[in-house]
Amino acid sequence: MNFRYLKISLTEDFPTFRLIIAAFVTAFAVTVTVYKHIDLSDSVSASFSAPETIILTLTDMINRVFIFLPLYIFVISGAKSTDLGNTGVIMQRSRPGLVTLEIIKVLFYTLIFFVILLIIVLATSNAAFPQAEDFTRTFFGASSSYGISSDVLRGTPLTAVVNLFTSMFLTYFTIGIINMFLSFMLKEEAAFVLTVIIGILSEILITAYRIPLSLSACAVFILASFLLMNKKNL
Amino acid sequence: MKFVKITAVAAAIAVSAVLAAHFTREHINEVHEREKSLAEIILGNEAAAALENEAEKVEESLQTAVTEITTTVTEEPVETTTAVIPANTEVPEIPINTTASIEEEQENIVTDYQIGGLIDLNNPPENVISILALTSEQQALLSNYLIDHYFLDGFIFAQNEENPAVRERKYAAAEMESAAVQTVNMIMSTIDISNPMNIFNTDFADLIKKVTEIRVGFAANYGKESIEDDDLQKLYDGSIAYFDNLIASLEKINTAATDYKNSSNALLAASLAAKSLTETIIPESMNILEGSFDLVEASQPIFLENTVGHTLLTRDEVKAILSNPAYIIQ
Repeated sequence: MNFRYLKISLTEDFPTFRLIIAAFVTAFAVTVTVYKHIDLSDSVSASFSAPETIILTLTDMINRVFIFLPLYIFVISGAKSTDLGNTGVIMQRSRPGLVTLEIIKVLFYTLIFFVILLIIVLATSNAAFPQAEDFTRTFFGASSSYGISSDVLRGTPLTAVVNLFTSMFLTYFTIGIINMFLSFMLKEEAAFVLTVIIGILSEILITAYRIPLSLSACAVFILASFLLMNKKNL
Repeated sequence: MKFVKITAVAAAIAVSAVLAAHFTREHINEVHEREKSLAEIILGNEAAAALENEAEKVEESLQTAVTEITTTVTEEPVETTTAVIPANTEVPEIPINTTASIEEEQENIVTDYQIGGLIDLNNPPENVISILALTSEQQALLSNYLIDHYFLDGFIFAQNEENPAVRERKYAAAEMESAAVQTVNMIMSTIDISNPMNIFNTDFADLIKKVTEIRVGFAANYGKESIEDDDLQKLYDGSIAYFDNLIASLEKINTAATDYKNSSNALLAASLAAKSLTETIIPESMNILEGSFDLVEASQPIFLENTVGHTLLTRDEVKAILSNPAYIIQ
Protein backbone atom coordinates (compact mmCIF):
# COMPACT_ATOMS: atom_id res chain seq x y z
CA MET A 1 0.00 0.00 0.00
CA ASN A 2 1.42 3.33 -1.12
CA PHE A 3 0.38 5.70 1.64
CA ARG A 4 1.90 8.68 -0.13
CA TYR A 5 -0.44 8.11 -3.02
CA LEU A 6 -3.31 7.69 -0.59
CA LYS A 7 -2.56 11.13 0.85
CA ILE A 8 -2.36 12.67 -2.64
CA SER A 9 -5.55 10.96 -3.71
CA LEU A 10 -7.43 12.18 -0.65
CA THR A 11 -6.31 15.74 -1.37
CA GLU A 12 -6.92 15.69 -5.13
CA ASP A 13 -10.30 14.00 -4.94
CA PHE A 14 -11.52 15.99 -1.92
CA PRO A 15 -15.19 16.80 -2.74
CA THR A 16 -15.20 20.31 -1.27
CA PHE A 17 -18.26 21.62 -3.05
CA ARG A 18 -20.28 18.49 -2.37
CA LEU A 19 -19.41 18.51 1.34
CA ILE A 20 -20.45 22.17 1.62
CA ILE A 21 -23.80 21.35 -0.01
CA ALA A 22 -24.17 18.33 2.29
CA ALA A 23 -23.61 20.54 5.35
CA PHE A 24 -26.29 23.05 4.38
CA VAL A 25 -28.86 20.48 3.23
CA THR A 26 -28.35 18.43 6.40
CA ALA A 27 -28.79 21.55 8.54
CA PHE A 28 -32.03 22.39 6.73
CA ALA A 29 -33.44 18.87 7.03
CA VAL A 30 -32.52 18.53 10.70
CA THR A 31 -33.96 21.97 11.52
CA VAL A 32 -37.29 21.14 9.86
CA THR A 33 -37.45 17.83 11.75
CA VAL A 34 -36.66 19.46 15.10
CA TYR A 35 -39.36 22.08 14.38
CA LYS A 36 -41.89 19.21 14.21
CA HIS A 37 -40.78 17.91 17.60
CA ILE A 38 -40.92 21.37 19.14
CA ASP A 39 -44.49 21.77 17.88
CA LEU A 40 -45.47 18.34 19.17
CA SER A 41 -43.99 18.91 22.62
CA ASP A 42 -45.73 22.30 22.83
CA SER A 43 -49.09 20.83 21.83
CA VAL A 44 -48.97 18.29 24.68
CA SER A 45 -47.25 20.65 27.15
CA ALA A 46 -44.44 18.17 27.59
CA SER A 47 -40.90 18.07 26.33
CA PHE A 48 -38.42 15.74 24.74
CA SER A 49 -34.76 15.78 25.75
CA ALA A 50 -31.88 16.59 23.38
CA PRO A 51 -30.74 12.92 22.97
CA GLU A 52 -34.33 11.86 22.27
CA THR A 53 -34.60 14.53 19.58
CA ILE A 54 -31.42 13.14 18.01
CA ILE A 55 -32.94 9.63 18.04
CA LEU A 56 -36.20 10.85 16.50
CA THR A 57 -34.34 12.84 13.83
CA LEU A 58 -32.12 9.92 12.82
CA THR A 59 -34.91 7.33 12.87
CA ASP A 60 -37.17 9.52 10.72
CA MET A 61 -37.58 7.45 7.56
CA ILE A 62 -38.00 10.47 5.29
CA ASN A 63 -34.70 11.89 6.55
CA ARG A 64 -32.79 8.62 6.39
CA VAL A 65 -34.01 7.44 3.01
CA PHE A 66 -34.72 10.57 0.97
CA ILE A 67 -32.30 13.12 2.40
CA PHE A 68 -29.28 11.74 4.24
CA LEU A 69 -28.76 8.67 2.03
CA PRO A 70 -28.80 10.41 -1.37
CA LEU A 71 -26.71 13.20 0.12
CA TYR A 72 -24.13 10.70 1.36
CA ILE A 73 -23.96 8.94 -2.00
CA PHE A 74 -23.65 12.36 -3.66
CA VAL A 75 -20.59 13.09 -1.48
CA ILE A 76 -19.02 9.67 -1.90
CA SER A 77 -19.46 9.54 -5.68
CA GLY A 78 -17.65 12.87 -5.94
CA ALA A 79 -14.61 11.55 -4.08
CA LYS A 80 -13.72 8.64 -6.28
CA SER A 81 -11.11 8.03 -8.83
CA THR A 82 -12.48 5.53 -11.25
CA ASP A 83 -9.51 4.90 -13.48
CA LEU A 84 -8.49 1.33 -12.87
CA GLY A 85 -5.92 1.09 -15.55
CA ASN A 86 -4.09 4.34 -15.02
CA THR A 87 -2.08 6.25 -12.45
CA GLY A 88 -3.71 4.74 -9.43
CA VAL A 89 -2.85 1.20 -10.42
CA ILE A 90 0.69 2.15 -11.24
CA MET A 91 1.17 3.98 -7.95
CA GLN A 92 -0.39 1.20 -5.94
CA ARG A 93 1.44 -1.39 -7.98
CA SER A 94 -1.68 -3.56 -8.16
CA ARG A 95 -5.39 -3.37 -8.71
CA PRO A 96 -6.13 -4.94 -5.33
CA GLY A 97 -4.06 -2.16 -3.80
CA LEU A 98 -6.17 0.40 -5.64
CA VAL A 99 -9.39 -1.22 -4.40
CA THR A 100 -8.04 -1.11 -0.83
CA LEU A 101 -7.22 2.54 -1.28
CA GLU A 102 -10.72 3.28 -2.53
CA ILE A 103 -12.23 1.46 0.44
CA ILE A 104 -10.11 3.57 2.79
CA LYS A 105 -11.29 6.69 0.97
CA VAL A 106 -14.93 5.60 1.32
CA LEU A 107 -14.32 5.06 5.04
CA PHE A 108 -12.65 8.46 5.35
CA TYR A 109 -15.45 10.37 3.61
CA THR A 110 -18.12 8.42 5.46
CA LEU A 111 -16.47 9.55 8.69
CA ILE A 112 -16.47 13.16 7.48
CA PHE A 113 -20.13 12.91 6.50
CA PHE A 114 -21.07 11.54 9.91
CA VAL A 115 -19.02 14.20 11.67
CA ILE A 116 -21.06 16.81 9.76
CA LEU A 117 -24.27 15.04 10.69
CA LEU A 118 -23.26 14.71 14.34
CA ILE A 119 -22.25 18.37 14.72
CA ILE A 120 -25.45 19.68 13.14
CA VAL A 121 -27.76 17.31 14.98
CA LEU A 122 -26.08 18.08 18.32
CA ALA A 123 -26.19 21.84 17.73
CA THR A 124 -29.87 21.83 16.78
CA SER A 125 -31.09 19.41 19.44
CA ASN A 126 -29.24 21.15 22.27
CA ALA A 127 -30.63 24.50 21.13
CA ALA A 128 -34.18 23.10 21.34
CA PHE A 129 -34.27 20.76 24.31
CA PRO A 130 -32.34 20.14 27.52
CA GLN A 131 -30.02 17.24 28.23
CA ALA A 132 -31.37 14.31 30.22
CA GLU A 133 -29.93 11.10 31.55
CA ASP A 134 -33.14 9.08 31.20
CA PHE A 135 -35.95 8.90 28.70
CA THR A 136 -38.89 11.27 29.25
CA ARG A 137 -42.52 10.18 29.59
CA THR A 138 -43.34 11.98 26.34
CA PHE A 139 -40.78 9.86 24.49
CA PHE A 140 -42.09 6.63 26.02
CA GLY A 141 -45.59 7.56 24.97
CA ALA A 142 -44.59 8.64 21.46
CA SER A 143 -42.15 5.76 20.81
CA SER A 144 -44.71 3.35 19.35
CA SER A 145 -46.15 6.05 17.05
CA TYR A 146 -42.62 6.76 15.77
CA GLY A 147 -41.90 3.05 15.26
CA ILE A 148 -39.08 2.99 17.84
CA SER A 149 -38.49 -0.50 19.19
CA SER A 150 -38.51 -1.23 22.89
CA ASP A 151 -34.85 -2.34 22.66
CA VAL A 152 -33.91 1.32 22.25
CA LEU A 153 -35.74 2.18 25.46
CA ARG A 154 -33.94 -0.37 27.62
CA GLY A 155 -30.68 1.55 27.89
CA THR A 156 -29.99 5.26 28.42
CA PRO A 157 -30.56 7.90 25.76
CA LEU A 158 -26.81 8.26 25.25
CA THR A 159 -26.29 4.54 24.52
CA ALA A 160 -29.28 4.62 22.17
CA VAL A 161 -27.74 7.55 20.27
CA VAL A 162 -24.35 5.83 20.06
CA ASN A 163 -25.92 2.55 18.83
CA LEU A 164 -27.99 4.43 16.29
CA PHE A 165 -25.00 6.31 14.90
CA THR A 166 -22.93 3.11 14.75
CA SER A 167 -25.65 1.17 12.96
CA MET A 168 -26.26 4.01 10.53
CA PHE A 169 -22.52 4.43 9.90
CA LEU A 170 -22.08 0.75 9.06
CA THR A 171 -25.11 0.79 6.76
CA TYR A 172 -23.95 3.87 4.89
CA PHE A 173 -20.36 2.58 4.69
CA THR A 174 -21.68 -0.60 3.10
CA ILE A 175 -23.69 1.42 0.62
CA GLY A 176 -20.59 3.53 -0.06
CA ILE A 177 -18.63 0.39 -0.95
CA ILE A 178 -21.47 -0.77 -3.22
CA ASN A 179 -21.24 2.60 -4.96
CA MET A 180 -17.50 2.17 -5.31
CA PHE A 181 -17.85 -1.19 -7.05
CA LEU A 182 -20.67 0.01 -9.27
CA SER A 183 -18.70 3.06 -10.36
CA PHE A 184 -15.87 0.75 -11.53
CA MET A 185 -18.33 -0.89 -13.91
CA LEU A 186 -20.71 1.91 -14.87
CA LYS A 187 -20.69 5.64 -15.48
CA GLU A 188 -20.85 7.85 -12.38
CA GLU A 189 -24.48 8.92 -12.93
CA ALA A 190 -25.69 5.36 -13.47
CA ALA A 191 -23.76 4.15 -10.43
CA PHE A 192 -25.28 6.99 -8.37
CA VAL A 193 -28.88 6.16 -9.33
CA LEU A 194 -28.40 2.42 -8.86
CA THR A 195 -26.75 2.93 -5.47
CA VAL A 196 -29.62 5.14 -4.30
CA ILE A 197 -32.12 2.45 -5.30
CA ILE A 198 -30.11 -0.27 -3.53
CA GLY A 199 -29.71 2.00 -0.50
CA ILE A 200 -33.45 2.70 -0.26
CA LEU A 201 -34.24 -1.02 -0.51
CA SER A 202 -31.65 -1.77 2.18
CA GLU A 203 -33.12 0.84 4.53
CA ILE A 204 -36.62 -0.57 4.01
CA LEU A 205 -35.39 -4.10 4.74
CA ILE A 206 -33.55 -2.96 7.85
CA THR A 207 -36.52 -0.96 9.13
CA ALA A 208 -39.27 -3.43 8.13
CA TYR A 209 -37.55 -6.63 9.17
CA ARG A 210 -35.22 -5.21 11.81
CA ILE A 211 -32.41 -7.37 10.52
CA PRO A 212 -28.93 -6.08 11.29
CA LEU A 213 -28.39 -5.98 7.56
CA SER A 214 -25.76 -3.33 7.94
CA LEU A 215 -23.42 -5.65 9.80
CA SER A 216 -23.87 -8.66 7.57
CA ALA A 217 -23.83 -6.68 4.33
CA CYS A 218 -20.75 -4.80 5.50
CA ALA A 219 -18.97 -8.07 6.20
CA VAL A 220 -20.02 -9.51 2.82
CA PHE A 221 -18.79 -6.57 0.85
CA ILE A 222 -15.52 -6.29 2.71
CA LEU A 223 -15.00 -9.99 2.03
CA ALA A 224 -15.93 -9.47 -1.62
CA SER A 225 -13.44 -6.66 -1.93
CA PHE A 226 -10.66 -8.86 -0.53
CA LEU A 227 -11.61 -11.63 -2.93
CA LEU A 228 -11.50 -9.11 -5.72
CA MET A 229 -8.05 -8.08 -4.64
CA ASN A 230 -6.82 -11.63 -5.06
CA LYS A 231 -8.24 -11.98 -8.53
CA LYS A 232 -5.52 -11.75 -11.17
CA ASN A 233 -7.71 -10.39 -13.94
CA LEU A 234 -10.17 -7.63 -13.15
CA MET B 1 -4.73 24.33 -1.66
CA LYS B 2 -5.75 21.47 0.57
CA PHE B 3 -5.77 23.87 3.52
CA VAL B 4 -8.23 26.10 1.65
CA LYS B 5 -10.49 23.14 0.89
CA ILE B 6 -10.50 21.94 4.48
CA THR B 7 -11.12 25.47 5.79
CA ALA B 8 -14.00 25.96 3.37
CA VAL B 9 -15.70 22.76 4.47
CA ALA B 10 -15.10 23.49 8.16
CA ALA B 11 -16.54 26.99 7.72
CA ALA B 12 -19.60 25.58 5.95
CA ILE B 13 -20.17 23.10 8.77
CA ALA B 14 -19.82 25.82 11.41
CA VAL B 15 -22.12 28.26 9.61
CA SER B 16 -24.80 25.65 8.97
CA ALA B 17 -24.70 24.44 12.59
CA VAL B 18 -24.93 28.00 13.93
CA LEU B 19 -27.78 28.89 11.56
CA ALA B 20 -29.67 25.69 12.45
CA ALA B 21 -29.33 26.40 16.18
CA HIS B 22 -30.35 30.04 15.70
CA PHE B 23 -33.51 29.27 13.73
CA THR B 24 -34.41 26.52 16.17
CA ARG B 25 -34.17 28.90 19.14
CA GLU B 26 -36.27 31.46 17.27
CA HIS B 27 -38.95 28.86 16.60
CA ILE B 28 -39.04 27.91 20.27
CA ASN B 29 -39.56 31.54 21.29
CA GLU B 30 -42.26 31.90 18.66
CA VAL B 31 -44.06 28.77 19.85
CA HIS B 32 -43.93 29.79 23.52
CA GLU B 33 -45.26 33.25 22.81
CA ARG B 34 -48.10 32.06 20.57
CA GLU B 35 -51.50 32.23 22.22
CA LYS B 36 -53.34 28.97 22.04
CA SER B 37 -57.03 28.69 21.31
CA LEU B 38 -59.32 26.85 23.72
CA ALA B 39 -59.64 23.95 21.28
CA GLU B 40 -55.84 23.63 21.09
CA ILE B 41 -55.57 23.49 24.87
CA ILE B 42 -58.29 20.84 25.13
CA LEU B 43 -56.85 18.74 22.31
CA GLY B 44 -53.39 19.17 23.82
CA ASN B 45 -54.62 17.85 27.18
CA GLU B 46 -56.27 14.92 25.41
CA ALA B 47 -53.04 14.17 23.54
CA ALA B 48 -51.00 14.44 26.77
CA ALA B 49 -53.36 11.98 28.48
CA ALA B 50 -53.11 9.60 25.51
CA LEU B 51 -49.29 9.83 25.57
CA GLU B 52 -49.31 9.13 29.32
CA ASN B 53 -51.37 5.99 28.72
CA GLU B 54 -48.97 4.87 26.02
CA ALA B 55 -45.97 5.60 28.28
CA GLU B 56 -47.44 3.40 31.03
CA LYS B 57 -47.98 0.60 28.53
CA VAL B 58 -44.40 0.83 27.29
CA GLU B 59 -43.02 0.86 30.84
CA GLU B 60 -45.02 -2.20 31.81
CA SER B 61 -43.91 -4.07 28.70
CA LEU B 62 -40.29 -3.28 29.50
CA GLN B 63 -40.67 -4.44 33.09
CA THR B 64 -42.51 -7.68 32.47
CA ALA B 65 -41.22 -8.42 28.93
CA VAL B 66 -44.73 -9.44 27.90
CA THR B 67 -45.89 -8.26 24.49
CA GLU B 68 -49.63 -8.05 25.22
CA ILE B 69 -50.20 -5.69 28.18
CA THR B 70 -53.63 -4.44 29.17
CA THR B 71 -54.00 -1.17 31.05
CA THR B 72 -56.97 0.33 32.79
CA VAL B 73 -58.15 3.67 31.52
CA THR B 74 -58.50 6.08 34.41
CA GLU B 75 -58.81 9.35 32.52
CA GLU B 76 -62.63 9.75 32.61
CA PRO B 77 -62.49 13.12 34.38
CA VAL B 78 -60.23 14.42 31.57
CA GLU B 79 -62.88 13.43 29.02
CA THR B 80 -65.42 15.56 30.80
CA THR B 81 -63.23 18.59 30.27
CA THR B 82 -63.18 18.08 26.54
CA ALA B 83 -66.72 17.09 25.64
CA VAL B 84 -69.66 19.34 26.28
CA ILE B 85 -71.53 16.83 28.41
CA PRO B 86 -74.30 18.11 30.65
CA ALA B 87 -73.87 16.73 34.15
CA ASN B 88 -76.40 16.46 36.93
CA THR B 89 -75.19 19.30 39.05
CA GLU B 90 -77.00 21.86 41.13
CA VAL B 91 -76.71 25.49 40.13
CA PRO B 92 -74.58 27.02 42.91
CA GLU B 93 -75.58 30.12 44.88
CA ILE B 94 -73.34 33.01 43.86
CA PRO B 95 -73.26 36.45 45.46
CA ILE B 96 -75.03 39.07 43.39
CA ASN B 97 -72.74 41.40 41.44
CA THR B 98 -73.83 44.75 40.16
CA THR B 99 -74.36 44.66 36.40
CA ALA B 100 -76.95 45.99 33.99
CA SER B 101 -80.32 44.29 34.53
CA ILE B 102 -82.90 43.65 31.87
CA GLU B 103 -86.55 43.96 32.93
CA GLU B 104 -89.47 42.97 30.80
CA GLU B 105 -92.44 44.63 32.51
CA GLN B 106 -95.09 42.61 30.73
CA GLU B 107 -93.82 39.24 31.98
CA ASN B 108 -91.87 40.39 35.08
CA ILE B 109 -88.74 38.55 33.91
CA VAL B 110 -85.52 39.67 35.59
CA THR B 111 -82.22 38.57 34.10
CA ASP B 112 -79.03 39.54 35.82
CA TYR B 113 -75.74 37.77 35.17
CA GLN B 114 -72.15 38.74 34.74
CA ILE B 115 -69.59 37.52 32.22
CA GLY B 116 -66.00 37.41 33.42
CA GLY B 117 -64.32 38.31 36.66
CA LEU B 118 -64.31 34.92 38.37
CA ILE B 119 -60.54 34.66 38.01
CA ASP B 120 -57.88 37.34 37.62
CA LEU B 121 -55.98 36.68 34.39
CA ASN B 122 -53.51 39.47 35.17
CA ASN B 123 -52.53 37.77 38.42
CA PRO B 124 -51.86 34.09 37.63
CA PRO B 125 -51.29 31.66 40.53
CA GLU B 126 -47.69 31.08 41.57
CA ASN B 127 -47.88 27.30 41.25
CA VAL B 128 -48.68 25.46 38.02
CA ILE B 129 -50.72 22.27 38.18
CA SER B 130 -51.02 19.87 35.25
CA ILE B 131 -54.46 18.43 34.52
CA LEU B 132 -52.83 15.00 34.44
CA ALA B 133 -51.65 15.47 38.02
CA LEU B 134 -55.15 16.11 39.41
CA THR B 135 -56.79 13.55 41.67
CA SER B 136 -60.23 12.18 40.79
CA GLU B 137 -61.88 14.56 43.24
CA GLN B 138 -60.01 17.54 41.81
CA GLN B 139 -60.90 16.55 38.26
CA ALA B 140 -64.57 16.27 39.24
CA LEU B 141 -64.34 19.67 40.93
CA LEU B 142 -62.79 21.19 37.79
CA SER B 143 -65.36 19.58 35.54
CA ASN B 144 -68.30 20.76 37.67
CA TYR B 145 -66.86 24.27 37.91
CA LEU B 146 -66.59 24.56 34.13
CA ILE B 147 -70.09 23.20 33.62
CA ASP B 148 -71.53 25.56 36.25
CA HIS B 149 -69.80 28.63 34.85
CA TYR B 150 -69.39 28.03 31.12
CA PHE B 151 -70.89 24.97 29.54
CA LEU B 152 -74.10 25.11 31.62
CA ASP B 153 -76.52 22.25 32.00
CA GLY B 154 -79.52 23.57 30.07
CA PHE B 155 -81.92 20.90 31.30
CA ILE B 156 -81.26 21.80 34.97
CA PHE B 157 -81.96 25.46 34.23
CA ALA B 158 -85.14 24.47 32.40
CA GLN B 159 -86.30 22.25 35.30
CA ASN B 160 -85.73 25.02 37.82
CA GLU B 161 -87.53 27.66 35.72
CA GLU B 162 -90.88 28.78 37.08
CA ASN B 163 -92.08 30.90 34.17
CA PRO B 164 -93.76 28.49 31.71
CA ALA B 165 -92.87 30.43 28.54
CA VAL B 166 -89.24 30.81 29.56
CA ARG B 167 -89.13 27.17 30.62
CA GLU B 168 -90.27 26.09 27.15
CA ARG B 169 -87.59 28.21 25.52
CA LYS B 170 -84.94 26.76 27.82
CA TYR B 171 -86.03 23.20 27.07
CA ALA B 172 -85.95 23.97 23.32
CA ALA B 173 -82.47 25.48 23.65
CA ALA B 174 -81.24 22.55 25.79
CA GLU B 175 -82.52 20.04 23.26
CA MET B 176 -80.91 21.96 20.40
CA GLU B 177 -77.63 22.07 22.25
CA SER B 178 -77.79 18.38 23.16
CA ALA B 179 -77.96 17.51 19.43
CA ALA B 180 -74.59 19.23 18.98
CA VAL B 181 -73.23 17.57 22.15
CA GLN B 182 -74.35 14.22 20.75
CA THR B 183 -72.17 14.74 17.65
CA VAL B 184 -69.14 15.78 19.73
CA ASN B 185 -69.53 12.67 21.93
CA MET B 186 -69.99 10.53 18.80
CA ILE B 187 -66.75 11.84 17.30
CA MET B 188 -64.79 11.50 20.58
CA SER B 189 -65.93 7.89 21.01
CA THR B 190 -65.32 6.92 17.38
CA ILE B 191 -61.84 8.38 17.02
CA ASP B 192 -59.29 6.60 19.19
CA ILE B 193 -56.71 9.24 20.04
CA SER B 194 -54.53 6.88 22.12
CA ASN B 195 -52.78 6.24 18.82
CA PRO B 196 -53.12 9.08 16.29
CA MET B 197 -52.55 6.63 13.42
CA ASN B 198 -55.87 4.97 14.35
CA ILE B 199 -57.59 8.08 12.99
CA PHE B 200 -56.72 6.84 9.49
CA ASN B 201 -58.53 3.57 10.18
CA THR B 202 -61.74 5.25 11.41
CA ASP B 203 -64.87 4.80 9.30
CA PHE B 204 -65.60 8.46 8.58
CA ALA B 205 -68.19 7.69 5.92
CA ASP B 206 -70.44 6.13 8.57
CA LEU B 207 -69.78 9.05 10.95
CA ILE B 208 -70.66 11.59 8.24
CA LYS B 209 -73.89 9.68 7.50
CA LYS B 210 -74.91 9.73 11.18
CA VAL B 211 -74.10 13.43 11.59
CA THR B 212 -76.07 14.23 8.42
CA GLU B 213 -79.07 12.33 9.81
CA ILE B 214 -78.84 14.31 13.06
CA ARG B 215 -78.68 17.55 11.08
CA VAL B 216 -81.72 16.66 8.98
CA GLY B 217 -83.67 15.66 12.10
CA PHE B 218 -82.60 18.85 13.85
CA ALA B 219 -83.78 21.07 10.98
CA ALA B 220 -87.10 19.22 10.83
CA ASN B 221 -87.72 19.42 14.60
CA TYR B 222 -86.63 22.94 15.42
CA GLY B 223 -86.85 24.89 12.17
CA LYS B 224 -90.42 26.07 12.85
CA GLU B 225 -90.17 26.75 16.61
CA SER B 226 -87.29 29.17 16.62
CA ILE B 227 -88.65 31.59 14.00
CA GLU B 228 -90.57 33.65 16.58
CA ASP B 229 -87.70 34.04 19.00
CA ASP B 230 -84.50 35.95 18.23
CA ASP B 231 -82.26 34.11 20.70
CA LEU B 232 -83.53 30.70 19.69
CA GLN B 233 -83.26 31.68 16.02
CA LYS B 234 -79.66 32.65 16.64
CA LEU B 235 -79.03 29.33 18.39
CA TYR B 236 -80.78 27.44 15.59
CA ASP B 237 -78.79 29.23 12.86
CA GLY B 238 -75.59 28.68 14.84
CA SER B 239 -76.39 24.98 15.24
CA ILE B 240 -77.11 24.51 11.53
CA ALA B 241 -73.84 26.31 10.70
CA TYR B 242 -72.05 24.06 13.22
CA PHE B 243 -73.46 20.87 11.66
CA ASP B 244 -72.60 22.05 8.13
CA ASN B 245 -69.08 22.96 9.28
CA LEU B 246 -68.76 19.61 11.05
CA ILE B 247 -69.81 17.64 7.97
CA ALA B 248 -67.41 19.63 5.75
CA SER B 249 -64.54 19.04 8.23
CA LEU B 250 -65.32 15.32 8.44
CA GLU B 251 -65.34 15.13 4.63
CA LYS B 252 -61.86 16.66 4.50
CA ILE B 253 -60.60 14.31 7.21
CA ASN B 254 -62.21 11.38 5.37
CA THR B 255 -60.44 12.36 2.14
CA ALA B 256 -57.09 12.55 3.95
CA ALA B 257 -57.68 9.17 5.63
CA THR B 258 -58.74 7.55 2.32
CA ASP B 259 -55.66 8.88 0.51
CA TYR B 260 -53.49 7.40 3.24
CA LYS B 261 -55.25 4.02 3.16
CA ASN B 262 -55.01 3.85 -0.65
CA SER B 263 -51.33 4.71 -0.68
CA SER B 264 -49.46 1.58 -1.72
CA ASN B 265 -46.00 2.92 -1.02
CA ALA B 266 -45.23 2.49 2.67
CA LEU B 267 -42.63 5.26 2.69
CA LEU B 268 -44.83 7.82 0.95
CA ALA B 269 -47.78 6.81 3.14
CA ALA B 270 -45.80 7.78 6.23
CA SER B 271 -45.07 11.27 4.88
CA LEU B 272 -48.67 11.57 3.73
CA ALA B 273 -49.88 10.63 7.21
CA ALA B 274 -47.69 13.27 8.84
CA LYS B 275 -48.81 15.91 6.30
CA SER B 276 -52.50 15.00 6.70
CA LEU B 277 -52.30 15.11 10.49
CA THR B 278 -50.65 18.52 10.51
CA GLU B 279 -52.49 20.21 7.65
CA THR B 280 -55.95 18.65 7.75
CA ILE B 281 -56.90 16.53 10.72
CA ILE B 282 -55.63 18.65 13.60
CA PRO B 283 -56.82 22.02 12.21
CA GLU B 284 -60.22 20.57 11.25
CA SER B 285 -60.61 18.95 14.69
CA MET B 286 -59.84 22.28 16.33
CA ASN B 287 -62.32 23.94 13.98
CA ILE B 288 -65.04 21.50 15.12
CA LEU B 289 -64.30 22.12 18.79
CA GLU B 290 -64.25 25.90 18.39
CA GLY B 291 -67.61 25.68 16.61
CA SER B 292 -69.09 23.82 19.56
CA PHE B 293 -67.88 26.57 21.93
CA ASP B 294 -69.63 29.19 19.77
CA LEU B 295 -72.84 27.24 20.31
CA VAL B 296 -72.26 27.07 24.05
CA GLU B 297 -71.92 30.85 24.21
CA ALA B 298 -75.02 31.34 22.04
CA SER B 299 -77.10 29.21 24.43
CA GLN B 300 -75.92 30.92 27.62
CA PRO B 301 -78.27 33.96 27.39
CA ILE B 302 -81.24 31.63 26.96
CA PHE B 303 -80.38 29.42 29.92
CA LEU B 304 -79.67 32.40 32.16
CA GLU B 305 -82.86 34.24 31.30
CA ASN B 306 -84.92 34.97 34.42
CA THR B 307 -81.99 34.11 36.70
CA VAL B 308 -80.11 36.43 38.98
CA GLY B 309 -76.58 36.46 40.27
CA HIS B 310 -74.91 33.96 37.96
CA THR B 311 -71.35 34.60 36.79
CA LEU B 312 -69.96 33.11 33.63
CA LEU B 313 -66.40 32.51 32.59
CA THR B 314 -65.12 34.05 29.37
CA ARG B 315 -63.48 31.78 26.80
CA ASP B 316 -60.06 33.18 27.75
CA GLU B 317 -60.71 32.35 31.40
CA VAL B 318 -61.70 28.79 30.46
CA LYS B 319 -58.46 28.50 28.46
CA ALA B 320 -56.46 29.77 31.45
CA ILE B 321 -58.12 27.30 33.84
CA LEU B 322 -57.57 24.35 31.52
CA SER B 323 -53.91 25.37 31.07
CA ASN B 324 -53.42 25.72 34.82
CA PRO B 325 -56.18 24.41 37.13
CA ALA B 326 -54.42 26.15 40.04
CA TYR B 327 -56.66 29.13 39.26
CA ILE B 328 -59.48 27.29 41.01
CA ILE B 329 -57.82 24.34 42.75
CA GLN B 330 -55.43 25.07 45.61
